[in-house]
Amino acid sequence: MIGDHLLTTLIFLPLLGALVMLFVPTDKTIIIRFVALGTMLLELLLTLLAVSSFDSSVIGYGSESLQLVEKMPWIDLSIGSFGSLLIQYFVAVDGLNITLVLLSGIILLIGVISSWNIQKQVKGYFILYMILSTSIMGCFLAIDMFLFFLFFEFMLLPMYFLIGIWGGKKRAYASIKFYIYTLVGSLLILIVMIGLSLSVVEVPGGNIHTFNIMKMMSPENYLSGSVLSLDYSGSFLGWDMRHLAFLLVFLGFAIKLPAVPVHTWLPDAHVEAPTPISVILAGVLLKIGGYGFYRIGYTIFPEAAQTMGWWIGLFGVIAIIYAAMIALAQSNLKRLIAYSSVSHMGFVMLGMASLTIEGNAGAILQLFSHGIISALLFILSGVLYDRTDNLRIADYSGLASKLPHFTVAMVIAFFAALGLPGFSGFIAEFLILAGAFDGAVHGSILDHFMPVLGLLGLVLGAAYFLWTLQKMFFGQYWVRDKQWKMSDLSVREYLMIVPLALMALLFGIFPGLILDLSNQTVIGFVEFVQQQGDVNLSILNK
Amino acid sequence: MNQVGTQIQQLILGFSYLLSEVIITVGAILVLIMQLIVKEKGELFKRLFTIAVLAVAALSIGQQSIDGEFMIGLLWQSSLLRIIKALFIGIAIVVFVFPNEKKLYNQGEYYFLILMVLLGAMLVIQSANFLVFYIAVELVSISSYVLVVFSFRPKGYEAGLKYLLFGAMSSGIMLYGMSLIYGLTGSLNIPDFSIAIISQLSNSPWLVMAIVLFAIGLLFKLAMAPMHIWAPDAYEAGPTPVVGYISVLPKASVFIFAFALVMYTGIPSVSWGWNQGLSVVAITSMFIGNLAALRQTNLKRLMAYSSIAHSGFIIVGLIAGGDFGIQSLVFYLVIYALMNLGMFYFIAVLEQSGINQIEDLSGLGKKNIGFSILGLVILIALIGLPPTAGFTAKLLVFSALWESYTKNPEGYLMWLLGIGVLNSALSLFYYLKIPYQMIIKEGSKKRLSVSRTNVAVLTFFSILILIFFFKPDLLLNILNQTSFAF
Repeated sequence: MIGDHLLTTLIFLPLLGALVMLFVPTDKTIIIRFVALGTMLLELLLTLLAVSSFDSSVIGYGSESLQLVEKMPWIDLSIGSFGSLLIQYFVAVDGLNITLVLLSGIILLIGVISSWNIQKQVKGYFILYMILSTSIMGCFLAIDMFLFFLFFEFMLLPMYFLIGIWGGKKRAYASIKFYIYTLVGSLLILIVMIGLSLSVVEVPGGNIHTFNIMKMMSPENYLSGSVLSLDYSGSFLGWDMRHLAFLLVFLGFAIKLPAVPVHTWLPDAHVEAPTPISVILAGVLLKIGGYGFYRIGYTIFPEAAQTMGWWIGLFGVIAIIYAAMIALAQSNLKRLIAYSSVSHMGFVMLGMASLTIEGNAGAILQLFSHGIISALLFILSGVLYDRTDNLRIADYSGLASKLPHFTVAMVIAFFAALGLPGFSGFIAEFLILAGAFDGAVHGSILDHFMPVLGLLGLVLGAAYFLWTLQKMFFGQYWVRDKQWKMSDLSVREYLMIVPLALMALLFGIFPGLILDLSNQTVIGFVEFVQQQGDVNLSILNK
Repeated sequence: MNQVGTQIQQLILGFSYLLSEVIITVGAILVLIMQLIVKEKGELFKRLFTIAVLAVAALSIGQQSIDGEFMIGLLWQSSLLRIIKALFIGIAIVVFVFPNEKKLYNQGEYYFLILMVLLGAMLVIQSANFLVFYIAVELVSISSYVLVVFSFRPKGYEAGLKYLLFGAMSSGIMLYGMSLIYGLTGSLNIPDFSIAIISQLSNSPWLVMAIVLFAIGLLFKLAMAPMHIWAPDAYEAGPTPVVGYISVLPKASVFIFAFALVMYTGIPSVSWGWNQGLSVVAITSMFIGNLAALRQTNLKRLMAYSSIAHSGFIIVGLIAGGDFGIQSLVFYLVIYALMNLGMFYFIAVLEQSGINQIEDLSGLGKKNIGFSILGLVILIALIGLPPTAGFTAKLLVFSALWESYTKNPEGYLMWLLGIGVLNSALSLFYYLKIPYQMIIKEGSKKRLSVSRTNVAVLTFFSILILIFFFKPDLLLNILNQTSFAF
């Protein structure tokens, strides 16, 4: 039963959990917590089941290589002489999203453990958390663009309340800023989605318009003369329509990623969000931006990968360097980690822009690895925040002597984040830089200076992490307020930190565990983008 | 003599197609008579009687039908228009479910005027003649002027007077436009108008002037920029059920009439700048509505600006035109009616506890979380976010616009699309103030009493709004099977 509907179960299981919680009396918080924990444990088991039933040897990229497919018509709107709009419930996995589904399973469970000490309005909190989990899973699994968009946009609302109700002092400002930024991003994507659904038909020559992303890949499915088809001759503001559409999609996902210069919502959201929400934000939500580049941007507009790849690479490098330099100047630990996230996400853009197999495999791995490592970083900063309500770096010194276990965990996390060999981040960034060099030498998309500057970003990363480590953990023990109860890690905190740290190490030593899952799809993806991009460009240039 | 005889015969025959209108008129008169007998008593009886009249009227719609002109070409009907008539009656029934102080429901005139607005709106969409349209739309307007002052407060008189003066002026402008049309074509029948403009008057400056003047009158009825100034005062001061009612019904009827006029006469192809002009109106309405709403503190004033902005979205369906345009426009109107009536019902419940400012809402969500969530669903729909039908409505309207761009690639349509879609983000700011105050903000100053009926009615609205997101086919397939053409 579940075998046929594994992905659907994955998506809606948390919602079921929320439904169960509705019937638990509000003051029975312990039951609610355990329902949440049980749901997410089951969810993780199901993602593991999905990973184990995923056949990583299937080659190619496109509708043939999708697995665990569930597809049925959902909405069929017929509109007079225009024809009809078909929206499908279409979920599937391939090498692009299977690793991210696994990541979500892990991080969402860690998030529940991290939420254990939430005291305020427990029921509402966990119900929102479950709704958020459903929309995250749905977003990664949807192959129909309407379905994707539904989950993509619906995730904002629980996030808004989770930051707005359970956040820090400036939570009202941070939550509305988060909402507005990401809503603008998703509206840009909406514009393109409207255009695509009107241009693409289910069967070439027919009039059943579709939101199926797989159909949007091949030029035959575009109605001749429709605005986003290759033979459309019109332009707007001097841009041809397909490039303009790509630009909008790209900007939309860049806000979510976030890329410089539309990243300013992230530090605010992180600083104000409660620890578990920061964990989910950095660990999973940002990845949707990167995933969107792949699943929607490059897949539907492969020609833009060639014509605009240089700019994407450039913005990737700008994000790497700029965010790292801003991180150097931060006085708040969470802000520092937030900027380091922006910097690390710049690598994803660089790897993707290189259009090489190494680069893209590295980018997919980077999404996964950064999910694990940033979750670890935010959990650790949460540990400190739980004890002191204060994350000012300058208020601490010599914590190593008082909190040895915590310091060890922090050292591991920082080294994993700065890309020390042996951790997953190193492999991912190494592959990305190798891919970028390869792309610069053999291809015409990137320039040599980009991977060189990317390397510089690694150095800067080392600088701000080591500096922080030195300032907060080494030297003479001193904290600003003597009243703070500085106790070392509790069992619950170990439960979160040890698995994450082990995973960062495990996937650093055996990166094949993740890379093998995505490998065949990445090869197929790069091949598809190159070939289809060439074909599309030759038609466009006619 | 003989010709007059056949005409009279035709007129009498025509009443059989207007059975529901006749029932409403008779019902309205009976309520007035009742008022003379029982005075300000029998609130429940009056209410039930009116609802019964409306139900009978709704059932009688399909009895005798015609597709095309009737009553010597003064009116017309089509299958789509009959469905819309039924929807209008449904909206009127909802108004009587609103909670309010006995003062309102005790007045027989209140029922009479509500029915008159309904009658006018039903005739507006069926009118095939400018003069009939004028009479019908004035029936709507004059009844609305009076209804706005039914709160019997000084502020209400001021708003009603503003509404009346401004309305009278714009009616005058509209009449002047109609007189020019008569002068140019020698007839006030809309079919004649279409023949005349297609044959010879293409792009004549007089024609453009006539159309512009007429359109200004329409914009007043639609509460769209730049003729929207009456709306905030009227909305703030009027009794809440009335405001919910006049924010939906007159607007919807005039939109349908405007679409029929445009479709039938092909104005966009003969009058220079028609669609450009409408696009400017749409964009300014969206901006004025959304920007002014940002600074509002009163719930009903906020909703006034919100409906100005929504008119800007609805008119996009008119600009798009074609099958897609009309279906998306009607779909949007239905959803708009659900959202607005739902929201005004929500406000009416709050008003019972003496709450009409946004800041009064702070912390109320914790006292009744179910009620706040129902309000949240409606607000999410007003912003236009999934999973609510508000999103589907916007998606369809903008899809229709994109489709019209495919046929007629003019840059301003793309600007309209981009600005329109991004305006949703602007509206997020002020709609979210309400759940922000209710759910996020702490410390409440006010009490809130919500009855089971209130929750049930709001649940009804919310569920419909959700259902039409998950299954918009339920509504659109009905629209698709009907035809708009006459």
